[in-house]
Amino acid sequence: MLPIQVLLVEDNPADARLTREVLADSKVALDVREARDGEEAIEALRGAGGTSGVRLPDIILLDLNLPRMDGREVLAEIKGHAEWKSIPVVVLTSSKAEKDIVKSYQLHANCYITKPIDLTQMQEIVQNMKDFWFTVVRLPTENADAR
Amino acid sequence: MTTPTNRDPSESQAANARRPAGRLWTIAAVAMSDSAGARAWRRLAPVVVGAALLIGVLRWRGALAGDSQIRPITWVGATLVLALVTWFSLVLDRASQTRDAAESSFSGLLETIPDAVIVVDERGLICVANAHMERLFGYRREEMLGQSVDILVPERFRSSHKGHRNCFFANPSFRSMGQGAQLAARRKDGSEFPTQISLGLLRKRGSALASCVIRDISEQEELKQRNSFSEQRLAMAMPANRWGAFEWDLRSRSLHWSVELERLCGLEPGQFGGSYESWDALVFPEDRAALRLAVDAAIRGGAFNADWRIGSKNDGKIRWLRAQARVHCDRDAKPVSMIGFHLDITELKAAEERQIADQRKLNVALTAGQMGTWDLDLSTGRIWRSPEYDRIFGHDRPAAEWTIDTFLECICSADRANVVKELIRARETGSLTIECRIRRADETVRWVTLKGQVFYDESKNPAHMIGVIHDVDVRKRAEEKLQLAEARHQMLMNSVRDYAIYMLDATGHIMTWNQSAQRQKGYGPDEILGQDIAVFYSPEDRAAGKPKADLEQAERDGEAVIEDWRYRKDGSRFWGRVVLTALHDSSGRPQGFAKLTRDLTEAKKAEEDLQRSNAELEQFAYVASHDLQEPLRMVASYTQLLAQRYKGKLDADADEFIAFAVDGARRMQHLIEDLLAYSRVGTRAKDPCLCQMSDIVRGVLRQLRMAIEESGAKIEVSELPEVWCDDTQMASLFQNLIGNAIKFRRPDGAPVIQVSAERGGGEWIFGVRDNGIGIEARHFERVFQVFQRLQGRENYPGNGIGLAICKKIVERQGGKIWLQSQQGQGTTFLFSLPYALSSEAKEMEHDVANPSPVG
Repeated sequence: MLPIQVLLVEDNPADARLTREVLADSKVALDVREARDGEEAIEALRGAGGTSGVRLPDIILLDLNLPRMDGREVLAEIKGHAEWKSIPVVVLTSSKAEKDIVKSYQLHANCYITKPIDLTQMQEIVQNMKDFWFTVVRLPTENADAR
Repeated sequence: MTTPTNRDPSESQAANARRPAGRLWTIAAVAMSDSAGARAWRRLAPVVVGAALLIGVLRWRGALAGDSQIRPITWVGATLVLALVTWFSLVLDRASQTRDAAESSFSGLLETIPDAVIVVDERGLICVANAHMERLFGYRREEMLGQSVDILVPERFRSSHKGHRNCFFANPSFRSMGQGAQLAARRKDGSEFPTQISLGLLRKRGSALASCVIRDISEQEELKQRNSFSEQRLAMAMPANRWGAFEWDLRSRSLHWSVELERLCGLEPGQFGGSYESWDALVFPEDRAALRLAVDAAIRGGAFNADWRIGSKNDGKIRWLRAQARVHCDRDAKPVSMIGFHLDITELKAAEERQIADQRKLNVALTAGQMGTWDLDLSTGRIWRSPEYDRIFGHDRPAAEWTIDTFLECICSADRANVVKELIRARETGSLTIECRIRRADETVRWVTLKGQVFYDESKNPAHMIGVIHDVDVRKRAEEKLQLAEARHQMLMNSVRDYAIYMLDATGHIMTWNQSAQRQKGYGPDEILGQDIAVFYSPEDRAAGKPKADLEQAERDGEAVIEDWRYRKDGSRFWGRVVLTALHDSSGRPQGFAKLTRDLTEAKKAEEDLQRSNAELEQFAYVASHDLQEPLRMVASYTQLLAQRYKGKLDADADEFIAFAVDGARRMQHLIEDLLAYSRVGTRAKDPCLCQMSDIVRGVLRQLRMAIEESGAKIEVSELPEVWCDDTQMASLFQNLIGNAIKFRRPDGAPVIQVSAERGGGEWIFGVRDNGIGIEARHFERVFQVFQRLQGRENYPGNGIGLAICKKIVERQGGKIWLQSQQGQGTTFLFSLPYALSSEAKEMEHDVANPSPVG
C-alpha cells in the first residue's frame, strides 16, 4: 500500500514540525509535503496529478492565516478545481472565530479543527483525524479520479 | 340811606369849615356811596341843589373877604366838600345828634373798607384819599390831595390815562371791580404794581367827580401764576361788590343798612326794617344766639366780628355774611353807635368747608398711611406734632414739648450725624428727605422717612419746616431682605462658573445674563439682552427651526434637555448640555424659560477619549491575548513534547526543569484565556433579549453539575423574573457567582447557596448568597479587580478574573454589583438590573400611550 500523501499548508515552521511530529506518531505510512504559503500550495497541486508522475495529495491540512495567498483563497481555488475538489481539506488553525468556521464550511472545507493549546489534546485530535480520514473513510483512487 | 334829612345845611358847612379832614371823610363817604349806586344819587339830587347854592355863597364870601390864600383848587375842593357834606348830613340818620359822631362814623366806615379809595375831579385832581391809599401808594394823605391823579400812574401811561379819564367823564358809566383792564399803578418810591379799579361817577351841574376804588392785585397776580386755586380763594375772600355798610345808633336803636347790604340780604332798597329786631329776624335761627352774644360783647368791648347766615329770598340759597364793625363811644365812653360792614363770605365759607373737608380727608389719609405731620419752627427749634407723629415715636399720649433736640435724641446714633447734615442742607435747598432709624419710647428701633419743606418769612428767611413722617420699617426691612436675597442670588448666579444661567421670555428672547453666560458665550449683557436664543445655534439648526422646536418641547413637556453644539460670539463652538425649563405664572400662563447651559466639551471629549481608550484597550487585550496564544502554544506544545519523549532519558534536574516550563506555559495559557474572556464581555456583547432568568440559572447549574456533585452543594433558587438582557453574559455572570460560592466553601461543611431576586427602587436586585469562607470588608472593592486573588492558588485555584468579568457584565447592563459578607459566615453577592430591562417594565411601556425612554 502506497503511503498516504499529505499536503500540510502551514507558514509557521514550528507549527509545521509539531504537526509532522504528531502525525508521525502512528502506524499509518504518511508522506507529508509542506507548503509555506497558499501559492506554494497551489503550485504543489499543479505540479502533481495527470502525467506529471507526482500523485495528488490524498488529504490537505490547511492553515487559514497564510502569507501571500490566504488559506481561504486556497480553499476556494481547490474546491473550484475539477480535479482537486474531491481532495478532502481539513482546516487546521488556531482561530476559534465563528466567522472563520462558517466561511470555511461555505467554501466546502471537509472539516474544521481548532489547534488545541495542549499537546496531548493535539495528539488525540490528530489521531482521531487520521483514524477517520485514513482508515474509516473510503477515498477515490487516483485512477478513478483521473477517469 | 332812606330819607333825606332836614338838618340845617349851614351847620354842616360850618362844621366842615372848622375841620377840613372831617370834610374829606364826608366826601369819601359820598364817593363810596355813590360808586355803589346811581339810585341813591338820584334821590339826593335836591340836596345837591342846595349844596350848589351854598357854593355860591361861599365863593361870594371868599371874594368879599379878599382872602388871597384861597386858591382855585381850594375853591373847588370846598365846593365839593360842601356839596358832599350836605349829602352826608342827608344820609345821616335822623337820630344822629352831633356832627362829631357823624364824622367819626363815616371816617371809620371809610377806614374799614379794605380797599384804597380816592375821589378825582374832572381835571384829574385828587379830592379824597383814605388811609388805605396811604399804605398802598406810600404818599401821605396831604401829599395826594389836590395833586393830579397822574402821580399814581406810571409816566409812560400818563398821556393815555388822561385820554381814558376824559373819555370816562364824557361818557360815564359805572364800572365795577374786575370789569376794567388791569392798570399799572406807581408808588411814591417809583415802584409799580398791578391794580384793578372800579369807577363810579358823581355828577352835579355839569361837573363830575369820579370815585375810584383801587385794589392792589399784585399778590393775586403772583398767586395766579403760582396757584390758580389760591387765586380763586383770594378772589372769593375779597370779592368786589360783596359788601355793604351798616350803622346802628345804639341810643335810638335805629339800624341803618346801605342798599348794598340790603341787596346782599336779598332785600329791595328800603325794605330793611331799620331795627335790630328786623336784622335778628333775617338771621338763621341757629346763629341768632351767637350773634346776640357777639353784639353784646361788641357793645361792651368795642369790636364786633361775627359770621352769620341768611336764607336768601332771591335764590333760596343760604348765604354767609361776615360782620365787622366798631363801636363808637361819646366823650363819656358811652357807646353810641356801631358802624361797620358785612361781607358776603358764602364762597369763602364754602371754600373753608372744602378746605376743612380736604383737611379731614388729608388727616384720614395721613392717619391711614400712618403719616405724622410736624412743623418745626426754625427760629425757636420747637416742633408741633400731629398725634400720629407721637404714635410713630411710641407715645400714646402727647409727649411733653418737642424741640429739634428731642427729635435728634430719638434718632439712632448711627444715623444722627447724617440727619443733622440733611437738616442743615434742607435750610439751604428748601426741601428735606431723610430715611433714618428712630428709637421709640419702648426702645424699639424702627425705620422712618421724613419729608419736609421749608417756608420763608417776608424777608425770605427760613421760618418753618413743615412735613410728614412715615414709619417705613416693614418696607425697609423687606427691602433689606430683598436686597440681601438679590445680592445672594447675584453672587450665586455669578459664582456658578460652569453653568450659563439666564432667562428667556415666552418668545425665546434673552432677558437676563450672568457672568458665567458671558464667560461661556463671549457676549456682554449689552449685546445679548433682547436677542433671540437662535444666535447660539448653528446655521443649519437655525434653518431647520431647531431653536423654536426646543422651546416648544420645553413648553410641552415642562423641560427639555438638549445636548448639542452651541456657538460662541467668536464663532467657535462647544458641546453644550442645555436644560430648558418652562416657567408659568400662578394661573398657568407661560412666562418664559429658565435656561441652564453647561459646557461639556471637555467632558464629552473625555468621554469620547474614554470610549476610544476602552475600545482600544479591549482591542489590545483581544489581539494581544490572541496573538500571544500562537507562540505560547508552541512553547507549551514543545515543552510537553520534550517531557513526553525525554522524561527519564536526561537527568532528574532536566525532568524538573521541563516540568516547570510545561506548568508555566499552561498557566500563562489560562491567563490569556481569562483575559480574552474578559475582553470578550465588551467585544462579544449581543443585543438584549427577554430572558427568563430561572432558565439561565438552570442552564448554569447544569454546567456546574460536576462541581455541585463533588462539593455536595445545596442550591436553592427562588422565583426569578424575566429580564431583557444578554443571556450569554447573564449565564456567565451566574456561572461565576455560583461557581465562586461553591469554590470558596468552608472546608468543614457542604455549601448552601441561595439565588433570589427582589424589587428595589426601579430595579431588580439579584442575590447569590453562600455560607462560605466570607470576605474581609477591606477587600470588598478589590475582589472585583482583574487578577486580584485573596486566596492561595493551592487551596482555591483561579486567576482572579471571574468577579472582574461579573462587574463588567453587570455594568454593561446598566446595573451595579456589590457584596455583603462576614468572614467565616458567608457572602452575598448582589447585583442590580434596571427595572426598565425587566419584562414587566417593557409590558408597562407598551400599555402606556406616551412611553418614557428606556434607560
